[in-house]
Amino acid sequence: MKARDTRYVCLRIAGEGGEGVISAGELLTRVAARRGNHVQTFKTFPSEVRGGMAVFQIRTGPEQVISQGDYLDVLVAFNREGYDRNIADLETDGVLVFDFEPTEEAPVRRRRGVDYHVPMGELAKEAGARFGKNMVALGAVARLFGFPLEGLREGIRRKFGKKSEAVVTANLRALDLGARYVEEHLEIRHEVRFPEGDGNPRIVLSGNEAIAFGAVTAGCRFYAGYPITPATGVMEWLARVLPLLDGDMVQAEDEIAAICMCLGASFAGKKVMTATSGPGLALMSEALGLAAMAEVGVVVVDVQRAGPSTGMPTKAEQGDLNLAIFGAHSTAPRVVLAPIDIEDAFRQTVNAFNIATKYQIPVILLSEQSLGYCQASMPRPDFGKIDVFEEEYATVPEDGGDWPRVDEITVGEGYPMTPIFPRYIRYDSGVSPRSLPGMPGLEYRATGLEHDEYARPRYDPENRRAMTAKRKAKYESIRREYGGAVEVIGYPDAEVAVSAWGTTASVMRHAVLRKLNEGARIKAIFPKILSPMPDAAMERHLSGVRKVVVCEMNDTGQYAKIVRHRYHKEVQAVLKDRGLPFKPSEIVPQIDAALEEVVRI
Amino acid sequence: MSTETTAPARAGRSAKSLRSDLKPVWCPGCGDYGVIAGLDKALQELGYARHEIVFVSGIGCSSRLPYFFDTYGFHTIHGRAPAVALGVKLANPKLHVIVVGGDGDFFSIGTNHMVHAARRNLDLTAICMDNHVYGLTKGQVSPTSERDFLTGSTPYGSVEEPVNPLVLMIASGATFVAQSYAANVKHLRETIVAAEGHPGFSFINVISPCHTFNREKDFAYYKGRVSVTEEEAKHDRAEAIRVILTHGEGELLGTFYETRRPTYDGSLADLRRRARERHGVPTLEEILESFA
Repeated sequence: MKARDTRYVCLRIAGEGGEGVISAGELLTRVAARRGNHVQTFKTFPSEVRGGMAVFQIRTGPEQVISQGDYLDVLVAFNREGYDRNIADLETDGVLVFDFEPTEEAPVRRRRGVDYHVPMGELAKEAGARFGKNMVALGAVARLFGFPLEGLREGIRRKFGKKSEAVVTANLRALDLGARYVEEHLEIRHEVRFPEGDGNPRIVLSGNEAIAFGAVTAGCRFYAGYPITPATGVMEWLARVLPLLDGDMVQAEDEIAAICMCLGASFAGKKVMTATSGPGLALMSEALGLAAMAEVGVVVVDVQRAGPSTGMPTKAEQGDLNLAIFGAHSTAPRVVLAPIDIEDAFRQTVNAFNIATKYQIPVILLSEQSLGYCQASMPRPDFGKIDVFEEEYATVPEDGGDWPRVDEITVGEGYPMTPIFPRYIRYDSGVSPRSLPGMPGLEYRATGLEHDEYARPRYDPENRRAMTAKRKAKYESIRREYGGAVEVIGYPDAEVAVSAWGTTASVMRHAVLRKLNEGARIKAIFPKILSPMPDAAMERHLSGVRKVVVCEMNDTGQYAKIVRHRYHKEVQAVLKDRGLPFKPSEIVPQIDAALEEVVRI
Repeated sequence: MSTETTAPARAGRSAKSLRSDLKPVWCPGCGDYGVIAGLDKALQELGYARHEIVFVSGIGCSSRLPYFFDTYGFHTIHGRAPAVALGVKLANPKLHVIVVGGDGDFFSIGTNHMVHAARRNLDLTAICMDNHVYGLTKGQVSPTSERDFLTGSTPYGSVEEPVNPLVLMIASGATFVAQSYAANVKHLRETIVAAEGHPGFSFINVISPCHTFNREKDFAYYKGRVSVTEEEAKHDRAEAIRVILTHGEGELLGTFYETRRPTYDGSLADLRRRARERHGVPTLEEILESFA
C-alpha cells in the first residue's frame, strides 16, 4: 500500500528565528489560496523573539486538507541546523533545497531524492534586501515546483506596500534572483509540482482568527484579555475589528481581571469573550464559579499549550481537558467545546456564544497551539445560514399583575415577600429570563452567594437543593439540545472504533479514511461537545464496539479516561506528549494492532 | 439622569429611599450602617433612578451592601469588583456604577484592580469602608491595620506597615480622592455627591469602625480624633499627598485631590469614533474579504 497521495504537496521551510521563515510561508499560503488551492499550515517557533529554530509547513492539494500528512515532499533548509533537525521528516525521494556548505565531516548525503543548493543568503545580499533570504527562497521554490511568480509578486506588493517602495523593490528583486538562479544554474530532476488551483480564490484563516471572527459573527462586542502565547492573536485581531463594530477590546491587568470584566459586561448585556492559555484558565477558575452561580454567560477560549506552568509556550498539547471539565470548585456547570479544524473553530465559536447566551452559562472553547497558529483555507460561510441566538429579556408584568410563578420556594423568616423580580425563577429548563441594568422595574442583585429565586442570599437546605438543581438542569437542557452532537465515520457495526477530540480528531480522520480505503471495518467517533458529553449518541455508537483506540496529545489520557469510565469500554490509549501533533502514520499501526487483537479474541 | 421609574411601589419604605427590604446582616453598631445612610441620602439628592444604579462589590462585610439597595447590583468575588465594574460601565456607560468594598477587598486581594481602575480613570465611584480589620472572617490583620495590631492571625502583633489608601490611589492616577467618616453622614453624603459629579475615577475612603473585631479603633476611639480639613482639594498630586502625609495625630476628612483628564469610557468612545471614521463600519462579508 502506498499511503502517500501525490495530489497533495507538503513543503517545510526551516531556518533561524528572525530569518523570515514564517512570513515567507504565510505569503506562499495566502497566494496559494488566492489561486484556488486548498491549504493547511503548521508552524512552530521558539518562544524567544529571535533565535532558535523556526519552522513553517504548508500542505496543499485539490481537496480540503485535513492533516499535515506524514512526510515532507519538499524541505527548504535555510541553514545546516534546519537540515539536520528536519531531514528525517523528508520523504526518501523528496526534494531538498538548502543554503549551506556541506563539509566532509557533515555532508548532505541521501540515498535517493533530489538536492538543490541555492545560495539564498548571498543572493539576498546581491538584491540589496538585508532580510530577503526568505524571498530568494520563495522565488526558487516557485520556479522549482511550478508556482506562478506573478501571484507572489502581487503578494509582496500587498505585504510590503505599506512600508516603502524601496522595501517592495528589494524584496521583488530577491524573489526574481531566486527564480533566475534556478533557471540558470539548476537542472530540474524531480517530479513534485504544486497542484493547480481551481481558480476559486479561497479565504485563509488561522485558528485564532477563525475564533475571533466567529466571535464577532455571533455578536461578540466586548473582549477583555491578557497577552499569553499562543492566544494573543485572538486579542490583537479583535483590537482592530471590535472598535469598528462599536465594541470594546480591553487589555486587562491580568487574566482574573479579564474574565471579571467580561462578566461585568455580560451582566450589563454584551456578548463577551476572553481568550487565554492553560495558566490563564487556571487563574480564571474562581470567576468561572461566579459565572455559574450568578448565571452570567461568557465564552472563555483556552488555546492550549504544552504545560504545566510555563512549559513550552509555543508547542502543542491537549492537556487542559481535565481543567476545563472538572476544574471547578463545587457544582458549577460549564460547557466545554473543542474545535477540530479551522472551519470548525469558526462554527464552534458561534455555537459557544449561542450556548452561553441561551443558557447563561460559561462556555470553555478548547483550542490548541497547533490550531491557533495553523492556517487553513475554508469555504466562505453563508451568513444567512448561521444561527445566532438572541436573548429575550424579562418584562414587567402588565397591568400591575404579579410575576409569573413556578413552584415557589417557601419564604423563610426575615424574607418578606414583596413583588420583586424573580431573577432566578425556576423553570424546568434551568434558565430564567433576565433583565439588564437600566431596565426599570426589574432591578436585582446578581450574586455569587447562594440565593433564592429573588436573588436574595439564602443558606437553608431546601433552597440550596432547589437552586443547585436549577443550575444543573441547564446541563440536561443542553444535553437534550446537543445529545446527537457526534461525528461518525465508517461502519456502524465495526467492533473497533477510534475516538479523539480537538485537532487530533482531524488527524485521526486522515488515518481512518486511509484504513477505510483499505477495507478495514472500523469507525471513528468524535463528540462535538465534551461537557456535557452527548451520552445518548456516544452510547449508541459505542454499543457493539469491543475496543476503542483513543489518541490524544497529553501524558495521562484525559479523554481516554472519560471514554473508559463513562462508557465502560476497553480503551487503548495512544498518548503523545512531545509538543508536537500526531501524524496519521502514528495512528494507523495502532488501529491495526487493535483490529488484530479483536480478531484474536 | 432620569428620576422616573416604573418600578412597582414598595411597601413600608419612604417613597424616596432606594433601600431594599433586606435588613443588613451587620453587627449592631457597625460603621457600615452610616455608609448606607449617607449613600441613600446622596443618591436621593442626586436624583438617580434605581434602575440606573449598579452597585458592584467583592467579598467582605461591607461588600454585602448591594443587597440593601433596591437597585441593580453585582455581588462578585473577593477583590475583583473594580474589574467587574469596568465591564458593566463599558457595556452601558449611562449607568451610575458604584463600587463598594472594604480595606481587605480593595487593598489586599484587589489592589491590582484598584490601581488599574484608577490609572484608566474609569468613570465610577469607589467607596472603601475601611475598618482596618478582616471582619467577615472574624478578625484578622488587614492591609490598613497599624503595626503591632493584635488579631487572630497576628497573636504577637503585626509586623507590617499599613498601606495608605489615599496616597496609593492618588499615586495610581485616581482623579478624585477623598476621606470621610461613617459617623459624619452629612459629610459622607456631600462627598459622595461630589464624587458622583466628578467625571472619572473617584475614590472615597470611609473610616467605618468595626467594634466587634477592632476594639482599638471603634467610634469611641475616633471621637475627637476626626476633623474636616479646611484646605481646598489640590490639583497637584505631590501637594495632595503632602497634605495627607504631613497631617499629625487623628484622621483628616475632606477631598484632598481632584483633577480632570479624559475618562476611560470617554476615551474608548472617542477611539471607536476615530477608528470608524478612518476605516468605516465593515459588514461581516467585508471582514471576510480581509482573509482572502
